[in-house]
Amino acid sequence: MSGARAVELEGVWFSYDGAPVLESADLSVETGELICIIGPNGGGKTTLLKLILGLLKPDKGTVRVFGKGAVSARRRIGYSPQYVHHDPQFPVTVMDVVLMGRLERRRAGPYSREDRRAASEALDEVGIGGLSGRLFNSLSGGQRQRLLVARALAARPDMLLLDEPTANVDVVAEERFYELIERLNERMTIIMVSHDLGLVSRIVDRVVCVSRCLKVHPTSQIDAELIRDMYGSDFCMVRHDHALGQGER
Amino acid sequence: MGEFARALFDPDVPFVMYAFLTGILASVAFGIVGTYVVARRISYIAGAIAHSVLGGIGVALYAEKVHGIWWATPMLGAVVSAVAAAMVVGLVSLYSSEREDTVIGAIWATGMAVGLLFIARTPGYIEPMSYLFGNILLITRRDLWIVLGLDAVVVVLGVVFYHKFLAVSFDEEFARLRGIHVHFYHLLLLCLTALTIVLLVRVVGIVMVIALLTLPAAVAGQFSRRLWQMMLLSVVFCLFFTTMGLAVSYTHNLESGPTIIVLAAAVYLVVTVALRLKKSLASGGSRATSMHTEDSSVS
Repeated sequence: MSGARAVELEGVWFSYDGAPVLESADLSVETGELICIIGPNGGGKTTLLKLILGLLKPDKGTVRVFGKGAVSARRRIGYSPQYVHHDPQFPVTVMDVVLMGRLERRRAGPYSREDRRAASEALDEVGIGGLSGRLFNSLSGGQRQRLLVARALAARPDMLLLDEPTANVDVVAEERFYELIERLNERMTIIMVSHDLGLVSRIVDRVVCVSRCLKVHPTSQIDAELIRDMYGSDFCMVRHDHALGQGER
Repeated sequence: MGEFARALFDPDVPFVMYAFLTGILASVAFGIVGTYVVARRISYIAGAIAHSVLGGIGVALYAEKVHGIWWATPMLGAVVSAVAAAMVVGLVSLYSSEREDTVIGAIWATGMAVGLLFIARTPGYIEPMSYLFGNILLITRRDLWIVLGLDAVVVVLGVVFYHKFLAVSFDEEFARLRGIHVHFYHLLLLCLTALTIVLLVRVVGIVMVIALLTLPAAVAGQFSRRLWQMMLLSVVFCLFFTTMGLAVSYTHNLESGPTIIVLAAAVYLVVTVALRLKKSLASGGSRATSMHTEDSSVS
């Protein structure tokens, strides 16, 4: 009911050409929350993000973002994809890419000074401010992923959706990255896909397991049993909220 | 070359000057649009558009000669068929579940077929070869104005929407999330490609125009860090290929279109090989470098 919810999925079904990916998924994310989506490959994690972004339409059910339809709310969201499918010879610099976060539908011509400032701030924030003149193709995997996060931040969004932001990052960089996530979470809602529960569970409020169904777990319940449950056997989404806590179990 | 310079200003052979100016003016549009075509990897679509042009030319010639429709000029026919082909391919790739490459192939061949049928039915002798492979004798003063007008359209749109075209070409999904109408820009780019192709059909011909669209951009891409640099360099290379090609072809009495294309292809080959050699010499086979490039290509 409250319009303040960042994301609200109700009974969402989705399939690619008849192959079911999500079944009856319910999820609500409060403004300011930091949640992590985990699950096996092909389990529907990226699909879930794309439904929230309105890039995909559910077969059944509703997706509300900040109380509105997914498409109309998408400009309040900063999205960092897992990869960019691009021509390896495409001539763009780091600054060119991060400035894409400042695109506006109704504006043509060059970027403003304000756009450039927001872009530089975003690069500094993710710790690659020194690379702004570098070619995108010369970046390492980890630098690229930070750049994609910076591009999402350049739009000054109210919510961040990050798809495997640490997939190509070593452990030290990963720890630093999660410090950044915690800091960003002070001012925005964050939904992050990850496969590494160990580091994530220390900072996130809840973990959502996606494997055709959705299950929500408070971080305190992440244990071996849960992981076996999720990756090993059935296709179901179980839901354990913080509020339910351990007392109830 | 002195011979070519003299012919340029010889009032008895005005077509040399027309061809020269057409090449110079069209290079601007070719450099800009060619860069987008190469960066976005849609040169096969550009190929289909180029070949569909013959259909429009054939229909226009037929209408002009047989039905006396004076405004049905080959140029108009070319523009209409090129834009129509661009829209069909664009809309199919966006909205239809039809295979895009099948549609591209169909347009490619059908355009040629329709053109040849209509040309065969048009009274008087018309040499399809001059449209297929270019013939600078066909260039008129009016064509120059058309090229100039289309240039203006391409430059203005290319500059005003630079960042949007860049974003749509680099990461279409992200551009859409920022509220950009990516379909509109996709179709606009295809239409600009169509118009640009028509510009140089007279000089290099339907079959080879695609090479002049992509080769200058491909050479420029090897030296560019930014998309706009690639555009500027493409314009320069395109200028060089068309003017040098014309000069060489005139001096040695060769066909202008093939001369221009062979020159462009030779430069592309030399530049690509030279840069590759330079790179492997510079790295000296060092493992670190090769591992680094491997790493960045994987991620």
